[in-house]
Amino acid sequence: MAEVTEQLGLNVADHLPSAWFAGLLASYTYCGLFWSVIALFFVGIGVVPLGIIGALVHSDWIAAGLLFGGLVLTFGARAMGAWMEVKVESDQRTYRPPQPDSAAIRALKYCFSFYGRFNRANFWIGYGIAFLMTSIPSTRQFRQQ
Amino acid sequence: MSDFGFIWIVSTYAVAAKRLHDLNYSGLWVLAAIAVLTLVSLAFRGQDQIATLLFGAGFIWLGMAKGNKGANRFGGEPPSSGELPTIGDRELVPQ
Repeated sequence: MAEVTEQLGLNVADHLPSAWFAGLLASYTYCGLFWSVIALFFVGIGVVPLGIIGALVHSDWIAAGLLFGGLVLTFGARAMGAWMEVKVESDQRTYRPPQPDSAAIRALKYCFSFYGRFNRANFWIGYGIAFLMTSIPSTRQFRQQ
Repeated sequence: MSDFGFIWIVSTYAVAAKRLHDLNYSGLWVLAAIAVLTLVSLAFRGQDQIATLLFGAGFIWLGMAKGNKGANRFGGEPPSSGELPTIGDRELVPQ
């Protein structure tokens, strides 16, 4: 699971520089050098929303869609990472090591499992337990009488 | 059919299937046996003793036939008769 998450994170993180660079190009193309430099002062990533706005104003729907998709992927990956961190912490807190089965559960598994092998003695014991089960309703009738 | 009847049928089928595994047969043969018994009951309507005799013979054969030595396609050899029965690698009754 950790490897898959790591790979997913790497794949999605690739979109961050792509979205940033595409945003820079779009904002430079549609808004000019001055506004692109101003946008860079907004935590360095202002070019992406500016690029989206510029693309929308100039009806470049594909560029706007790609930039918006990159933005969603970037912040989606961050949100997912944060959620996973919280979940892992919570799982670690609530983790209980597997407990051994009780004798009743073992008996049920012994009778109701369809896997494995029974030797002759197992067969008679298992069928004996199954036969005892049939006596439960008759015992109930006996009690009622 | 009562709940207990259903439980009894399922557990009996499970026990028979595991016994068949020990003889290196698929557990699905139990279904074939049920089908044969049903057909016999239908063919000899009113003569239940024939189906009962067949069932008894199959039951006794299952209880008496010697299982495969060593592992087969259904798992390892179950412990010998003197030992406690196991579920997987654990005993049925904990020590």
